[in-house]
Amino acid sequence: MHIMEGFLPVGHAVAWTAVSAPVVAYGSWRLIRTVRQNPELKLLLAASGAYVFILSALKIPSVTGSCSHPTGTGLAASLFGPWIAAVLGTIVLLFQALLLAHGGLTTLGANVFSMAIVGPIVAWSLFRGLRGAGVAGAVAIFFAAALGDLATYVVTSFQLAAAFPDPVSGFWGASAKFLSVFALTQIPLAISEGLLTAIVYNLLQRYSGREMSVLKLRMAGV
Amino acid sequence: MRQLDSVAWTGRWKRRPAAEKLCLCLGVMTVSLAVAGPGGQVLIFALMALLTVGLAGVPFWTWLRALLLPAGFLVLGVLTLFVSVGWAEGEAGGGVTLALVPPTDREAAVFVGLRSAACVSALVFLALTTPLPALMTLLRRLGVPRDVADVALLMFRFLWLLFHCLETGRRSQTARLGYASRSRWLRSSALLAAGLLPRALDRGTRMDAGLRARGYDGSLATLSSEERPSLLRLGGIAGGVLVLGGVTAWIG
Repeated sequence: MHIMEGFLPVGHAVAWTAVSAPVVAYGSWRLIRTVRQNPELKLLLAASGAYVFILSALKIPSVTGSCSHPTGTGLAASLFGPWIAAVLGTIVLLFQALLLAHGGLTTLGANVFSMAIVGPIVAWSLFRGLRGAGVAGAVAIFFAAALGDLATYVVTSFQLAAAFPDPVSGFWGASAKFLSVFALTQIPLAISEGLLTAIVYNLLQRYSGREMSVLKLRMAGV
Repeated sequence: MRQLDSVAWTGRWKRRPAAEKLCLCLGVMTVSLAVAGPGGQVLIFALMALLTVGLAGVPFWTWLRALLLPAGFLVLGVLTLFVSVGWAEGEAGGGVTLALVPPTDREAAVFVGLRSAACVSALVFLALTTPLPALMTLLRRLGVPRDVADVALLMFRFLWLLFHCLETGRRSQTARLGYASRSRWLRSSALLAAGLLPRALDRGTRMDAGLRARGYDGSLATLSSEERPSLLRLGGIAGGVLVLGGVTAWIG
């Protein structure tokens, strides 16, 4: 769901950067405050960030017959909260641009908004809300990951529609067009990512309970 | 990913200052986004290709492979812009209509594709000539908070360790027919992902212990083998970008 380098007009690229920057700056401020108090968390955060990047290198089967890559949004947001996920997500997107030529520098702001801000906020809110309502952890994380992924895809479609409105039906027609094109791959992918994340969550709870508690305890201030 | 990184570390321009290469890349992208017409975009693409393959010595096939992934997305994106969605009322009720956009909009869509290709060629130039840690160090110098830049730099180090674990795990799962069916595939991927998190945290904890034993106080200073940026060269790049802007504005 990355918008390619140079695809957005300059005004849109600047506007999305301006919208994303305060959120990433706030996340960075929280990260810096915690890391200054506990320098050892820097290593833990970096290791966790690398883990989120590696998640996107996993191939998962898609219903359309091919395979695709998860975004890691749901798991990252439920592990670290939306603000840290925004900072780690921004770094991951920068790495993807510079190591894979996937996404871009001029479209970084737009991609950060959809993938590192909206996706994690939706996933985190759903996870917290469903857990609060007494829903089982695996079910909650399934919906958080799947709908976080879908939210990312909806926002990206709106971003593209705002930049390239349809000559006949305007913004909404263009939104429907981009949503339909991406739905073919993104809806099966969101379901696959939800299932994958739910299995990962269950396995982590069962076999890595100690590491999860340490992570939660140490990230409490972040 | 590994190939792009390895070319950046072993290339002819690896020691050239990251500041100069980033200036050139961003300058060219600015010209592409703000000034250049279709002819100018083709010129920028050709110029960055020449610079990457001809001057920086990146192997042609590596450069081409780096362009393949963005090219796929680009073609899909441009084709989408060729189609217009409408709503038509008929006797049996309304329905969605699809039609080709008018010729002026088709030209605009092709232009978006050309602009994106030009910008991608500038990005690929940066990715294939500059090791990522050099860019992280530069970002720190440019004012990105030290702690955030350190986390990014450490993430880069951990990335390869975890990637190695991922590859080893996937190879052994494949040997045990872990990817033989869709359900096994999903389960194997989940097992792999779940197994990696404790490893990642363990690596982080061990590195922390090692650093603290060496007097770690939160600052991670590293040595760089990079040349110092020269004001003269930076001025030359700025001048070159201005000339490019003028030429692209002229040819349209």
